[in-house]
Amino acid sequence: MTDDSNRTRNQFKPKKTVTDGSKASQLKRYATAVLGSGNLKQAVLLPEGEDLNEWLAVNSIISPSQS
Amino acid sequence: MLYSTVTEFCSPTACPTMSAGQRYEYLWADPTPNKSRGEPLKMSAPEYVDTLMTYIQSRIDDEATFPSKIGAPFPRGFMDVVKTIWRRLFRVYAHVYCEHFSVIVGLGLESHLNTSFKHFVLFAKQFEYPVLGYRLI
Repeated sequence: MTDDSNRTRNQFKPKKTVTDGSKASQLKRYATAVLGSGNLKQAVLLPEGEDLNEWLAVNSIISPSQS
Repeated sequence: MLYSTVTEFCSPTACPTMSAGQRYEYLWADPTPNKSRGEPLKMSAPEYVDTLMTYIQSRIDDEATFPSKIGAPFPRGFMDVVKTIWRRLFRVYAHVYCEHFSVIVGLGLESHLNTSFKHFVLFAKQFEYPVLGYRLI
């Protein structure tokens, strides 16, 4: 039972993109890099000196696209 | 992304409810402020996931909720939006694990799913009590 419209409907693509060079783009790069390090416990920790809201925001954008 | 691999099997007829096993069914309550809050709605699983992803997308795209400008302050209700997003994303994992795990295994994607879920849980556990003051999972 293939439903192609369903397949495309559920793609998660927010219009908002992270501007290059911004704090958010640095955090996003960090979040993606640390995810690839193999240590997930480390990967979720708030990076030193970073703003908690920014960290929650970046991860709230990354996680839905992974789920 | 992982959910999209099972959409072929997660149709309104195959999954008429947003279930996680026989004991749990999730209903949709619109969390947008100022929208009339009626009774939570029963939805099929694909409809629930679609509604959820549309909601998350609309929140992220909303400059007042997720400010993208450098130095722009986060709104007062920001943590509530984060809570709603994370609490409901858990349900997508729950549905996939309980109802579609054999499909995931058939596609050889179980380690991807497990890693993605592990990251999700670790993140939620790290921040739910100390920061959000609320149990997410």
